[in-house]
Amino acid sequence: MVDLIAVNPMRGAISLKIGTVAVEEVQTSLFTVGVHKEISKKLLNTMKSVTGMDWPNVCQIKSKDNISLMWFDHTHVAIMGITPTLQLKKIAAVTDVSDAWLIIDIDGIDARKVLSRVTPTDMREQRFKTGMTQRGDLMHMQASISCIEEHRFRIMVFRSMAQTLVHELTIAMKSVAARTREA
Amino acid sequence: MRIECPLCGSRDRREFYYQGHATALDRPKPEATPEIWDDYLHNRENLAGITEDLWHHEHGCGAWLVVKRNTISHEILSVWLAKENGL
Repeated sequence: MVDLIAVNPMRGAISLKIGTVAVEEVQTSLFTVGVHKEISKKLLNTMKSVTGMDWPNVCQIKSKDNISLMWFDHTHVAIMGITPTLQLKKIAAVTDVSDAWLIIDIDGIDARKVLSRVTPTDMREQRFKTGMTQRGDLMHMQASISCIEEHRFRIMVFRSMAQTLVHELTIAMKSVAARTREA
Repeated sequence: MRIECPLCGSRDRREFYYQGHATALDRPKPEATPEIWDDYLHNRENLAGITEDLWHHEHGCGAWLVVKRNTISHEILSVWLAKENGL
């Protein structure tokens, strides 16, 4: 019997620091919770008891005790950091997608400038505030972009796009760093 | 061109997939006559003016939207979730 070994999407740790911006991979479990027909009161209560947090609003991400709860699309919410209980699985479509996505954090005073080069999403501070999450393009990739601190963003893309994401971010980080040096 | 997604806000139209006229929301009953089904499946107006189209926010929240727009001026008049029409 062959022992299958889980490898991370980049087959090694991502450690990237260019200029003032650093990228690191986030190792966490990731589950999506799909709403069957509507967000019932029972689902709201169960989510609260499982995660300790209320169901997120549209475009909202929140965290508590290393658990994150994130609006993911028009019918899904994502849970990071814990494995949902059977109780939740009975009333919603819960799927383990931990292996399907690459999750990274990009951090630094120029993180917004870097992301502005790769996504048409409005990255300005007054529009993309802490606790906000967006689904949108990142170059040609379907991405999830969340502001978890003022200068720290969580980026998620499909696992198959891991190297492409790092490649695109590296170019953008180098460009921003070069301009910052000139200034 | 930008489309105001009711969930995600103002987004570039490249994030959206265009499906066609919103006729698809008015599906005839199964017992409707062949003429009505033929009209539903194949016949479309080619309006110069205000039209309602279905767009899918595929690089965003994944919702189907109805976009009311003017094909002469390209002005977008309003956008709402297709599920509000009973989808």
